Formats: sequence, structure tokens, C-alpha cells
Amino acid sequence: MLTMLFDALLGLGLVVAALGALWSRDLFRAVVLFIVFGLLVALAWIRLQAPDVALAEAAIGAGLTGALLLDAIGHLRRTPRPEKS
Amino acid sequence: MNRARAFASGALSVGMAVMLGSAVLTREFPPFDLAVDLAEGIPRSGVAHPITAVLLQFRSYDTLLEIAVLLVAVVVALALRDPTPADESSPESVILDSVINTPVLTSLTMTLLPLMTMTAVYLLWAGAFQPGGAFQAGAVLAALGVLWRVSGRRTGPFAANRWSHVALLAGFAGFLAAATTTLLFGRPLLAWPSSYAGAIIVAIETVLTVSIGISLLGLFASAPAPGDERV
Amino acid sequence: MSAELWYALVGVVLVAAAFGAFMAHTHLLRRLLAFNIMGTGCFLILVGLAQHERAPDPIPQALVLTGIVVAVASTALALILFRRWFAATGRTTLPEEDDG
Repeated sequence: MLTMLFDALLGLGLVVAALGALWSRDLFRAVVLFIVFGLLVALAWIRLQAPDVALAEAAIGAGLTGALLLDAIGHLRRTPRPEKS
Repeated sequence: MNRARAFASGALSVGMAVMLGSAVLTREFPPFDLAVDLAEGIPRSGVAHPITAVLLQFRSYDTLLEIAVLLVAVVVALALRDPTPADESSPESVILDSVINTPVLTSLTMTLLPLMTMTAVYLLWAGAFQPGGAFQAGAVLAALGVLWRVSGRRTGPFAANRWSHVALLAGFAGFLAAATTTLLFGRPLLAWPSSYAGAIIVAIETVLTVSIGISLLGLFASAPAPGDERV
Repeated sequence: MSAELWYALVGVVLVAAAFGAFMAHTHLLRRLLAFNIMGTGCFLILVGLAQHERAPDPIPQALVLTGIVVAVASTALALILFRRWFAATGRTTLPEEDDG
């Protein structure tokens, strides 16, 4: 019963985090929610009895992809846009 | 966005949900169960952990192609990075874009350097009989590299020297060499002999770890810097 | 409904929502996020469906492991291309998107 509740909440959290990542007005907030989504998916992999996938998702899927996206967004903010010809 | 686009996207989304949902709910399992065949094949695969066995013994072709994809991505990333400006003659003078030069981060990185290296080696070794393996260890190494670069250590341009080229290529080259060596002995491609399979898999995983770590770091480090308007 | 089927259905919702967002947005980074979430949803469907009422199956898990690495490689490459595009043109959308 408790595991059913946990699965329900985790699934709901996954969908909410994904919707936030997809539809947030602020791009930075979208990427942060994407990282949150990645970590929740790692929890889901644990519940699906896939610890290797959970490790890889947390490190590569959430961690490295999040770092890449944050780097790109910071670059967007800092670069002065060149003149459009 | 205009209403037509919003409506079309919504309709496509709902249609996709209905299609996939009905497919998932009315699934039919095939009459065979691969997991049973896998469990029977584990003892002669050389490793005890089923995922490592699948990745490097039973479906090693997929892993070989995956490393090739990673290598191609890194090569393209390196090709598209900004060339070192002409006045930066010494390799140590590259200051990175995303640097957070605080004492806490610097000392944390120095403390974590040996710990994360040890963790990566342990994950690599433990992959033979429990969750772990080359990808997880490579990810830890890549994270270490990212920390190193972000904490303000002055480094040269990524992949500027020969050893980093060797590290990038070693995974794919080693794997391909091992795969084709089996052909020389009259066996099919990637068919490790049962008595040596464990040792071969550990050796391949080692070079894979180094390669994956350097490749993932290269993907992070090859991003163009600001102010680079040259295409 | 077992836990695995529940996660497979969550994966279905993720794929559908991300697909809609991919179609709706024009900003390239948002499309990249949607693409990644679609991929993760596919992985959840793959493993959830395979393990529904069956023992944990290492084969789809290994395929997902491979998929995660390939996804990060393509995301990184897409980001580098995007940054090149942004440095060259100063825009975050593709040219044909501008006319509504």
C-alpha cells in the first residue's frame, strides 16, 4: 500500500517536473526543473529494479546534461548578440 | 505562438497519448523469454553481473557502436570549437568561460580528485558482479573533469596534446581491435572465448572508462566561448 | 496494475507531453529539452513494459543504458551546434519558424 502511494507520487512528480521543464517561461527555471526531472527518473529506475540505469541516469542524464544546458543558457545570457545583417 | 499551432500541437499530443497508451495497455508478450536464455548463459560469459554480460558479451555490438557514436560526437565537437586566438601562444593561458574561482570550490576539487578517481576505479571493477561498470565509472571521471575545469584551474585547450587524443581513441580502438582479433582465431566477430572472456571484458571496460570519461568531458569543454562571432 | 505498468504509462504521458511541446515551441533549446524528455519517456516505456508481471530483465536495462549515453552525446552536439548558430546569427530559432 505504501509502495503504491510512493509510486503514484513519484509518477505524478515526474509528470509535473516534466511539464514545468517544458512550459516554464524562464529558460533557467526550465533547465533546473529538467535536472529535477532527471533525478526523479533515477528514483523511478530504482523502483523498476534497475540500479545500473539509475546510476547512469543520475550521473549522465541529470548531471552532465544539466551542466551542459546550464552552460549553454549562461552563454546565451552573457554573449552580446551580434548585429543582424 | 498562434492558435493554429497551439491547437495542432495539443491535438498531436493527445493523439500520441491515446495511441501509445492503447499500445501499452493492450500489449502481448512474445512466446519466448530472453531473460531465461540470458540466465542460462551467464556462467559462460565471464562476468557475474547480468547487465555487464549483456553489454559486453551478448550485445557487445551495440556497445561498440555506442562508443563509436560518442567518438563521432566528440570529434565533431572538437572540430566546431573556436580556434585558439593567435596571441595566446602558451597553452596555459586559456581562461575558461564558465569559471567559478572561489576557494571553497578549489579546495573541494582538490579533495575530491583522489576520492572520485578511486570511486571510478571501484565502480569499474565492481561492474563485474554488482551494479557498476564502464559507463558509470566514466561518468564519475567526466564529472571530476568538469569540476576541475569549472573551479578555475588553468588548463590548455581541450585535446591539444597527443595523450588526450590517445585517451579519446583508446576506447573505440581497443574495443574494435579486440572485436576483430576474434576473427583472426576463426571465431565470429566479438565472440570472446569462454576461458578468457572475463579478462577480456575487464580490459575492454578499462579503456572504455577512460575514453568515456574524456569524451564526456570533451563534450562539456568544447562549447564555444562568448564573443566568438567567427563561424 | 503493477508498478512497472504504472511507470510505463507515466512514460506514455511524458512522450505525449514532450511531443506536443516539441511541436509547439520554436526556441531551439526548448525543443532540445522536449526531445530529451521524450527519450526518457521512451526508456521508461521500454523497461516498464518488459518487466510488467515478469522478473527484472537485464536486456532492456542494458539497452536503456546505451540509450542514455547516446542521448547525452547527441544533446551535447546539438548544444554546440546551437551555440554556433547563436554566435553566427544571434537568433535562437530557425529562420523558417519566423513566419508564424
